[in-house]
Amino acid sequence: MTEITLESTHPHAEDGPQQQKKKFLSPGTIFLIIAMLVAGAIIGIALANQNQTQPTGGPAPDFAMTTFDGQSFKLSELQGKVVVLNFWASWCAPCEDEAADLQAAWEHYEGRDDVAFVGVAYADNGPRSIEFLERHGVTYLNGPDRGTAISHDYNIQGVPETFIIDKNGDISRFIYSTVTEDQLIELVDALLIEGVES
Amino acid sequence: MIAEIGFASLALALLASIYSIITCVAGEIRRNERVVLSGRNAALLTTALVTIATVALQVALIQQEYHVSYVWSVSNPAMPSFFRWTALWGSQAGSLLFWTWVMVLFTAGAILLNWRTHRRLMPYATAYMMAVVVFFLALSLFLENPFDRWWILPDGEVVANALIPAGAQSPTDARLAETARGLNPLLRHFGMAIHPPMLYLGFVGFLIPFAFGMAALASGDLSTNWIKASRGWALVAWLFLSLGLILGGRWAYDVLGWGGYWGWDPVENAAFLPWLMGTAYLHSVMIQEKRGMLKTWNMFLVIATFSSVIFATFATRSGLVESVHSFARSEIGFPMFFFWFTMTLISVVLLMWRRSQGKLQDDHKFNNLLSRESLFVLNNFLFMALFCVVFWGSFGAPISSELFLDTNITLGTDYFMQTTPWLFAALYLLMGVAPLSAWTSTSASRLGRSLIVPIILTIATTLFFIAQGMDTTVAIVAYTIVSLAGWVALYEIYRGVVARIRTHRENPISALLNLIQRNPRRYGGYMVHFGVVVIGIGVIGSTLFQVESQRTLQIGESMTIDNYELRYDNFRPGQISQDGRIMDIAELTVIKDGTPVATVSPRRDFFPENTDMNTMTIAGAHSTLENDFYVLLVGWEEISSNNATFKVYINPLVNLVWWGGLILILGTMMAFYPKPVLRSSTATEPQQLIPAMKGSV
Amino acid sequence: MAAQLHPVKLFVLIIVVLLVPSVVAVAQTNDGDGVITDDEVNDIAQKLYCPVCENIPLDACGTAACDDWRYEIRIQLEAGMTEAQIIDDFVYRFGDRVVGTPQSTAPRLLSLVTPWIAIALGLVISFQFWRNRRDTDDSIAADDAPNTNISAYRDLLENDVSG
Repeated sequence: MTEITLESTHPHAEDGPQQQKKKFLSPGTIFLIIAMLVAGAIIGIALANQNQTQPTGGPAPDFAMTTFDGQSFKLSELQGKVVVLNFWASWCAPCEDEAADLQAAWEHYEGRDDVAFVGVAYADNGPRSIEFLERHGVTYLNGPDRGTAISHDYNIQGVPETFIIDKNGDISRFIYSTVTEDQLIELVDALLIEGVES
Repeated sequence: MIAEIGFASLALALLASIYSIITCVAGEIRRNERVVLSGRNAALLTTALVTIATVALQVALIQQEYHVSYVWSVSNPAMPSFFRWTALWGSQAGSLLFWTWVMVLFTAGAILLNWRTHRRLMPYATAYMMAVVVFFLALSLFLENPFDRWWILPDGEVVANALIPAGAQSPTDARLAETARGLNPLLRHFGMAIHPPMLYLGFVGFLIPFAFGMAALASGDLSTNWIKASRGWALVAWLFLSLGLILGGRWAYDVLGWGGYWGWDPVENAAFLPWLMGTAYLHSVMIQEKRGMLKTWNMFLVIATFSSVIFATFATRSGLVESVHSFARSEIGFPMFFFWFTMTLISVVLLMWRRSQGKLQDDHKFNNLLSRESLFVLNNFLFMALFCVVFWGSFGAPISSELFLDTNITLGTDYFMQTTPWLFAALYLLMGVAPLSAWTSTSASRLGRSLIVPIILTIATTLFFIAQGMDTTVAIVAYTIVSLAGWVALYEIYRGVVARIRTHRENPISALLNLIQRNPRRYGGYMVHFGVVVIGIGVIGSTLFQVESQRTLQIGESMTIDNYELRYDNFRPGQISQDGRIMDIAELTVIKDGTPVATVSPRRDFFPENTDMNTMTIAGAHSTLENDFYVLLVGWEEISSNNATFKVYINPLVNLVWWGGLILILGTMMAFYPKPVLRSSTATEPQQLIPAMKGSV
Repeated sequence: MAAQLHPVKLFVLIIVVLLVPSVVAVAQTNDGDGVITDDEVNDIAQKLYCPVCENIPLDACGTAACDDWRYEIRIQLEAGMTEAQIIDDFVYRFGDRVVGTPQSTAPRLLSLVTPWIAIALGLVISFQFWRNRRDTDDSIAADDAPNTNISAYRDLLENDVSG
C-alpha cells in the first residue's frame, strides 16, 4: 500500500536530532561544483585533443630539426619555398615503396631554390634509418624526429604521411598514403604557379 | 527482415522508455497511482523490446546475414558457431546493445522484486534507470546502430544505413560473404565469452543502487530505505565486477602472451576504479545501517560508483588515453562525455540541496578511534586514496601532462608499484583488525585481546614461510600482513561455530550452516575477506618471485631455469584449425629436478585473412599450486624446425589468484543465504518488540 | 630552437652509427653467437615501451619495428653501454612516453609527487571530518560496549522465549 507521509507532520523514527538547515551554496558546495567543472573541462579538452587529426590547412606547425648530417634548421626558415614534408620510417614497408619516387621528384627540382624536400624519420634514428637513406640514395634534408615532438605536432597516426606546404608556410595538402613521383610533381607545380600569379 | 525487426524494436524501446520517465515522475508528483503504474509497465515493455532487438541481432549473427554491416564486420563464413554467439559483443555497436540489454534486465528485476517493498522509492528509481537507458538507446539508434545494412547507391558508392536510401540496392550475398571481416583474433578465445558479460553485469548492476539513491534524494525519503532496497543489487554487482576483473586478468594471461595478468593499462584501471568505489560503498553503508551516520558520504559514494562506471565505459570506447584495449575512435566520445558529466553534476547538486535542507543529519557521533565506524572511515579513506592514485596514473597525469606541459608521458607499472602497495598493505592490515572491533567503542586493550590468537597463528605462518626458505624482507612483511587478515577471518568463523556447538550441542557442520543462516552478511563477509587474502597471497607470490628467461633452442636442446629444465622436442608448423587459422605448434617437455613432469605446446597462430591484427601467441603452461610453468613461442627470429626462441616464465602461486576468485563467489553466495522467516505478529515491525536488539550485531 | 647535441649523446650516436657495417654484416641469429643473451636485452626492454604502439612494453611487442629496436638494444649492450645510458638514449630519441615514469623533471614531479600530496591532504581532511563529528562526552566506557559476537546470546534468548 502506498504510504503518503508528509515529512513535516510525521517525523520518522529514524530522523535524528534537530534538522539544521544549512545554506545551499556553502563554501564546501561551491568548491565541489567548481572542482567538478574544472575536471570536466580538462577531460573535455583532452578528448577534443585526442580526436584531432592531421592538419589539412592553415599554418604548418613550425619545428627545429638536426639532420643526420648534423645540419640544423627550422621549418620557418624555408618560408618562401614550396616544401614537401614526408614522414617515414625504416621499419615501414610502404615507405620503401615511395622512397624512390620521393628522391626522383626531388631531383626534378634540385637545381631550383624555391622548392625544398624535408624527410622526418618517425621514431627511427638508429643505424637502420641511415642504412635506409643510403640504400635509396636520398639526398634531400632528412633528420630524426627527436622525442617524436614533430610527429606529435602534426598528429601523425602512422607512416608514411606527406604534407605539401605552400610558399606562405600554410599546409596545402595532406596525403595519407604513399606518394608517387608524378603526384608530387603535379602538386608542387600547382603551388609554384600559384606563387607566380600572386 | 530480421534487421528491420531489430531496428523497429529499438526505436519503440526508446519511445517506451521516454514515456516511462515522464509518467513515473508526473504520476508520483501528482500522486496518481494509475499514471505511475503505466510508467512502470512502460519500463517493463522497454525491457521486452530491447530483448527482442538483442535476440534479433544474435539471430542475424547465427544465420549469417552479412548484409547487416555489424554481422559483416565481426564474423565470416569460416567462423565456428561458438564465436558467432560471442561476436554479439565483439565490436562497438553490438557491445553497446548488449550493455543496454543487461541494463534493462536489471531494471526489470529491480521493478519486479522491489516494487511493493519500496513503493515510495520505486517511481523515481524507475525514472532514473530509464533515463540512463534512454541515453544508451539513443547512442545505439543514432550513432552506432547495429542494424545498419550495406547498400549500393546508384552512383556505385557503398554505404551502411539503417533505412533504405533512395534507389539503393543490396549487395549480393556471395559478395558479402566473401568479404566479411571476421572476429578480431584476440577475441576468439573462451575467456572472451565470459569477461565482457561479467564486466557489464558488474558495471550495470551498480545502476540500481544509484537509482535508489537518487530516488531517495528526489522523494525526500532519506532513511536507510534506499540502502536496504539496493543492498542485494550492490552485492551482486560487486561480485560480477570482481569476477569480470579476475577473468579479464585470466584472459590476458592466457592469450596476450606477456606472462602477466594485470598490466596497469588505463582501460584495465578504468574498470578497477568502480570496484574501489563500490567496495568502499559496501562497507560504508553498514555505518548508516547500524548507527545512522555518514549519510551524505554514502550518497556521495553511490553517485561516485556509478559515475566511475560511466566514466570507465566512456574512457574505453572513446580513446581518451592510449591503451591496448582501445576500440576504434568513434563519434560516441563526446556524447558519452556530456552524459557522464551532466549526470554526475546533477546528482551532486541534488545531494547538496538535500543536505542543505538538513535531511542528511547524522544520528550519532564518533566516540572512539578504534570503534568499528571510525575504522570504516579509515577504510573509506584508503579506498579513496587508491582511487586517486590509480586515476591519476591512468588519466590525470597523462592528460595534465599533455595539456599543460605539452609532453606525452606513460605511467606504467613502475608508477603503480611505487604507490599502491602501501595502500594495499594498509587495507589488508585494516582487514585484520576491523572485524574485531565493536560498534560505538572499543578499547585498545580489548582489541588487543581479541587479536592474540590470530597474531599467534600469523607468526606461526611467517615462521613456516621462513623455514621454507623465504628470505626477502618485503615478501615476509607482505605475507605476514596478508595472513593476519586471513587468520582473523577464519578465526571469527571458528569462534562462531564453537559458540554454537557449546550452546546448541550441534555437530560442527550444522553449527556452521546455522551460523551462516543466522547472520549471512557477517559470515559471507568473512569468507569474502578470506578470498581476498588468498588472491593477495597469489599476487604477492607471482609478482615478487616471478622468474623469466629467454633462449633460442634447437630440437633436442634444453634450457635451464631455476630448478627446471625445458627440452625442445618437436615442431609442427602449418596446422590448420577449423576457423582458418594456421598454427605453428612447438612441443616441449618440462623437467623438474631431473624428472619429466609435463609437456607443453605453445604456439603461434596466424590469421591469413586479417589485415591488422594477424598473429597471436598462445602460451603453453603447466599449472600447479606451487607455480605456473609458462612457455611462449616467441617470434624474434625466423622460426624454423631447427631454431625456435622460447620465453619462459615461472609464476609462483599464481593459481591462487583464480581460486581466490572462486572463494569470493562462495562468500557472496553465503551472504545471500536466506534468513529464516520470523513468525512475527501482524501489526507492528518485529524491531519494536525487541528494542535492545536494534543497533547491535 | 636548434637542438644542440649533448657531447655524450653525440658520442653514443657516433658509436651506434659506426656499428652500421657490423649490423649489415652480422644480420644473423643471436643464438649464443654474441655475448649478449636474450635475457639481458629483455631486462632493458621490459623497462621501455614500444614508441609507436599504444602502451605495449617493448619486450612484449611483436611487430617488426619492435624487433628492430630490441636489436638496437643488443648492439648498444655489445658496445658496452649501461642500462641507464640505453634508456636515456631511447628517451632522447622517442620522448618520455617510452618509459614507465617520466625522466624529465616537470612531468616527473607532476606524476609522482601529486598523488602523495593528494593523499596527505585527504588524510588531514578525513581526520578533521572524523574529529568534527566526535562525541566529546566520553561517557561510554569502552568495555561496556556490546559484544560483537551476539549470535550466541540471541540463540540463548530465543531458546528461552520459545520455551
